[in-house]
Amino acid sequence: MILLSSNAQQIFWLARYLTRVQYLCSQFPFQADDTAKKYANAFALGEHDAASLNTLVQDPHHFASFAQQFSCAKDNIQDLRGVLSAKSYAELNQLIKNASENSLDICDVVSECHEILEAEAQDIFLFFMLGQYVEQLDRQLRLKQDTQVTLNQLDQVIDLLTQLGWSGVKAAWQQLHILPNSINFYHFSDHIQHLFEVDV
Amino acid sequence: MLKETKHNARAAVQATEQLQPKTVEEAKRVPAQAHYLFQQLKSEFFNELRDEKSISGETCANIEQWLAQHDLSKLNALNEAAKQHFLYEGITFTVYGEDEGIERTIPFDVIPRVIAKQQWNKIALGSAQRVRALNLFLHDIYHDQEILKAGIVPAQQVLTHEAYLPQMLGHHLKGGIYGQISGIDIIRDREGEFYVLEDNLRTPSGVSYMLESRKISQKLMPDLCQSNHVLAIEQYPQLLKQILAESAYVDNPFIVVLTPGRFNSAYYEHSFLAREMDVPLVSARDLFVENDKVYVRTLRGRQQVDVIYRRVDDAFLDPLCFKADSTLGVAGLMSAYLAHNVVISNAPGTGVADDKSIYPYVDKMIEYYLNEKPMLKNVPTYQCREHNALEYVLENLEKLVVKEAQGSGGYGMLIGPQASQKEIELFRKKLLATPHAYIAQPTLDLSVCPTLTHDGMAERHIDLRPFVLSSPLRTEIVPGGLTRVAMQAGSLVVNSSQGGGIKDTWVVDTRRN
Repeated sequence: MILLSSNAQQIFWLARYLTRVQYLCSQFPFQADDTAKKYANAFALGEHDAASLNTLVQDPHHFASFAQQFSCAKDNIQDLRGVLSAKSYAELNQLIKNASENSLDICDVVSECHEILEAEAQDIFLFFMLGQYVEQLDRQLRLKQDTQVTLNQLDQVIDLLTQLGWSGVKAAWQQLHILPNSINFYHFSDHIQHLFEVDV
Repeated sequence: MLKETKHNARAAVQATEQLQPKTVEEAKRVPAQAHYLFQQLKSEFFNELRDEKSISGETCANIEQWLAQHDLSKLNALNEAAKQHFLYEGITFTVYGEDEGIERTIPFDVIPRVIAKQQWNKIALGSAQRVRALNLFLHDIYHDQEILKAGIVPAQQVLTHEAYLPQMLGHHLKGGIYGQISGIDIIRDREGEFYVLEDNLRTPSGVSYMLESRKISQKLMPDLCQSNHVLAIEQYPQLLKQILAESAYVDNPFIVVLTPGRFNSAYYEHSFLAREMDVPLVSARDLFVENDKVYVRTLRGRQQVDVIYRRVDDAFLDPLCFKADSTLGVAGLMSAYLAHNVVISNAPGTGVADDKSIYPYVDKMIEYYLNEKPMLKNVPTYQCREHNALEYVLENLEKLVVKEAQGSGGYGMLIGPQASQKEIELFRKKLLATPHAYIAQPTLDLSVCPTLTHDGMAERHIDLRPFVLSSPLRTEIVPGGLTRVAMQAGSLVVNSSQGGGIKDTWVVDTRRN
């Protein structure tokens, strides 16, 4: 079946939110004030020491909390119901339904969601990987971490997407690949959104 | 803890397999008293599983024996396993106005409803006959309006109806098919006579529950299903796809299912049908119209759409034509439709034919268009818009069922014999204020079917919704339908939105038995 642009976009954002939550899980609870401050600054959360950042990410009403970000992933899963295999949907639905707003529950669920989605059809999985790596790159640029491995992974995914017929992404990618910085990243990210939303 | 929950859910689903009964051969070795399970339910109503004239005794005996070899707790565990299966698969629906969340499962009863093939033939032929007449009626009212000119159906009632779309006037549809998918609600009275309660031609829902009921029955009682020669219904999605394709203006059409989205109460069904037909599930944002052609945005570029199986109401289909603030529709869709560049199924404007105030005229439509006698009876209906009828209804509210002419889902109904004086007085005021908005019918003694409750087996009222598929080439009905059951003792309301449940519907070829 032909994948709709909106479905590709939902898969992309599902991957981004799951990856975002997964990284937060890997850092939580923040122990060192320095690390917390760096994280908070990178994601424009204001000034926070470890204790207050831990409180913030557990506040279900805050946009940067486990609960809110996981909720975005849940919405995408529901929107993808007509696309995911019945088995994958059932497994994901079961996971997300039982996950409370508790951060530990969510962290457990997120890694299992990853495993389930990796078993989906190739085009679905390609957009899932695109979302995963774009989220990783975004974070690495914000936190000034090494981007090389992610750039290589993204390069491979972009090649596969081009082979799939999604070639519009290539030019913006070249620019980011050559000069990986925040401005080029935003340009690339906007370009992807544009491709999802316009008639290509 | 989460892993444990997941494990428990999976275990509950697996329990359906562990609870599977022994073979039918083994079942036949259970004590003779098993044969009298259903007969113990001494009912004043027509009992579907004691219809000795049409259902083979062997089928009922098989079911009774199967039930007898399980104690109540095991049988309830089977119903619970079905519930867990529905939850796990996300087979859920939304009740409007509920705050408790998006998902609710429909109660499933493991005891099937059985219809003999000879009886089914009557239902199938009668339903098909109605749908043929309704399609002819729709073609007529949007073209020459002969039936209105002949005074058989009051012109004013049709032409001023809110579902009547002047945009459809003179628009020719391939084969004159307006309703490719119709659901006919059928009940049986105290004598077992079939009656049509209402016709559903807008966007009839529930077919996914019909299919899922069969799937879970086969899982819970495979031997029983097999040994009774239950006729297959699994072909429905492919049949629907063929019917939609036959309605298209091109060969090998590109078909989509249009959904209002995940907040719609029937979203599960929309995604289910799209997946089973292997066609895209789209929402308004996926579609656009250019030069009177409809396209869907795909990863490989635009793709022209030839057939839209829409699950969006008329009023929301096209903001340029109907509700201007609709975000569920596609601007320009009606223009593309009227240019014959896309088929919308069911056609816009079909709602006028399934209104409860038009329903009383279906018998006459059958005689007028088909020159045939109706095979299925209508329930006598009082049109409150008529002075004499209104007078009668107001005098007999305690005995009648009053319904909104355009209502559905069991909302806005008065069941006189079960209503309080306060409710009756409220409806009296409503009837006096807007009589044309209501119809009334005698309270029928709906048939019952043995149903599992926490206290044991009990009779519960049921109805049946078979699904009729129509294309310019043929009319098809899979042998079965959605049997809805009122889960509360004595209740006549079978709607899922009002707590109703479902049963698998077995059409059994008794001759083969």
